[in-house]
Amino acid sequence: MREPTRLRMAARATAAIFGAYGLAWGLAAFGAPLGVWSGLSPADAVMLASLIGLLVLPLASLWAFAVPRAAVGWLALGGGGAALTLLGGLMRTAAP
Amino acid sequence: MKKKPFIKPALRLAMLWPHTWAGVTLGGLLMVIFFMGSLSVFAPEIDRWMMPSTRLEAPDGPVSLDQAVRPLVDRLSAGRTVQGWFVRLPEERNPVLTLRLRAEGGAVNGVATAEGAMLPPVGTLGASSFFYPLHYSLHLRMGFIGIWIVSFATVAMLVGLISGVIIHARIFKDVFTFRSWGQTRRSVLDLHNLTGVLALPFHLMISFTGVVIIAPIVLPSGVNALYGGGIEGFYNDAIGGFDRPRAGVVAPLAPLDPMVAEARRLWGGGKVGYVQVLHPGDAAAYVRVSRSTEDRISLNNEPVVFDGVTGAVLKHAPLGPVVAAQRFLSGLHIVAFHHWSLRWLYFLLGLSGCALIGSGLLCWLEKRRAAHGVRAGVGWRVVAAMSCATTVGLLLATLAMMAANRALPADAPSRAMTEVAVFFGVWIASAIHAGARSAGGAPWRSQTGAAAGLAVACVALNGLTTGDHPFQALADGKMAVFGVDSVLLLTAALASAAAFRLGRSAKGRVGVEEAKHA
Repeated sequence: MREPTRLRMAARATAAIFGAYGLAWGLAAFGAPLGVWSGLSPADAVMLASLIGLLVLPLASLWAFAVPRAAVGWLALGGGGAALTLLGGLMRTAAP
Repeated sequence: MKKKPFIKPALRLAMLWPHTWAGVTLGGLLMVIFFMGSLSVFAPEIDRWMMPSTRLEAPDGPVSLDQAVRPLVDRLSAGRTVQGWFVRLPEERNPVLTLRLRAEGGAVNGVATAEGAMLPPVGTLGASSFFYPLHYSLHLRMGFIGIWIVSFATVAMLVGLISGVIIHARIFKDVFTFRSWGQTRRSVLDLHNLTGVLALPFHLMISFTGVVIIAPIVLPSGVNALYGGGIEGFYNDAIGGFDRPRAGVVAPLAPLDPMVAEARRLWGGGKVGYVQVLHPGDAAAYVRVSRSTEDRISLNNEPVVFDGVTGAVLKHAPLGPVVAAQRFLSGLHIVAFHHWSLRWLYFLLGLSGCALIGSGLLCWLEKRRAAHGVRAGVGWRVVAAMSCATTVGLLLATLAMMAANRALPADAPSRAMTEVAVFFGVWIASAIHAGARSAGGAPWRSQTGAAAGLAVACVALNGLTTGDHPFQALADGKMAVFGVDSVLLLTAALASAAAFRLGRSAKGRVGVEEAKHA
């Protein structure tokens, strides 16, 4: 890990708060239509996806401090969240 | 060959920053959440203490809705059109009928005995409408903002717990380590590790299930993906909601007792928790009968919806498996089921969470004091004052509210709001006092002493105003009153012991510092 300056710690902290929430958001957004596709009722699918998102949230948040570079954390968490959200949206339009 | 450590030193080092700063920034808020949550475990008992007219015995048999409740609804509505009403039926811990009416020109609330005799207004929010909402929403209801803040802090708690476990490699050894003698810093760290390790399963469970209860609200992307109508539509689908508009055609409401009997047949036994009637007197009237969850962990109250005119079942759907699991996890958090030893354990473990957070804050303060010497910076003073105000200050505010509850006359104007004003007034005063005196630490000793005095005053005031002093309450079998009084007296004893010890160690510290300067 490089020398922790204020800016780098701020980058990590924001990745831990917003990036991790973004990933949880993406997991729930993608998991809900995926659950329906695999045969769950909509209510069950939403609940399961939300629970998985919440379970991952604190771990993802801490991971943002464990990665060697803050940018990697931002890319994986924020980017992953955005990609999952997009994928969830595509699934919904593909199978209404 | 040297064994590779399971947790790499670099990872442990990396976890230190989020652990420390999540704790220092959100510790005060978490303290409020944990303390009010611990009190909420006994909310019905504190309600009995704060609402003396409801210190009644639970009824033996079921209450007739048609004979006991409907006349009360007619009386409360006083001839106005009622859009809907709700009644919670009496049970052991809550032996009164609680009624809420939505009528033309506003809502009306009422409390009555199980026999249907109206009781005077309780004149207080009590624990169930003040301490409990403070626990989960900080009373910031608009746009769920309080729920969002509490959820954020709860995830930070989970972050603190997990990072704490990683930082702390010798996890099992420390179960048996508590060095109360010697340095404050060491015993504070030991207390932090002890409460963190010993009660870790509870803290993980209570924090996670806390966010699980409101999962679809704080993580709404799944709901957004599948339910166009938002959270309302989701809950209607998931936990047996039902809604239909008023028809505008007059039709009499069918008898309710047969509906209750039918609901109990569908449940295969069990008791009724509450009943809701929507659009009474209209052709589209419907009645929701919900089961009491006192005999189960899960919050699944299996609502049965009846047509209000014909009495036919409109909706009775079992929960899906994942929704049922979520209801179970929620019930595990709320501990509304009948199990006294488990309830006390929740209370004590919740308070151990307060000790965990508080000792963490103290640990940070003591370390900084050692690093910077006598002169304290602004950051240190803010954390010192906040720690004091959210621990002893919060206790002071709670006790002051309970004392005001017993000291204010029953017919005082806007009595309930005066109590709330006392709570926040004392809390703010304690924070200002702590801030002003934070240069040398915080006024821990004087505030702890005041808490001890207030706790005794609460018991005395209760005895004077209601006659239910602890021995009388015990003799009459009013265990809720006896229990609250006992905990208040125990609080007083512990607070005076703490104030005494704080006085001694303050003298010791001044002595040491004088010696340094000599």
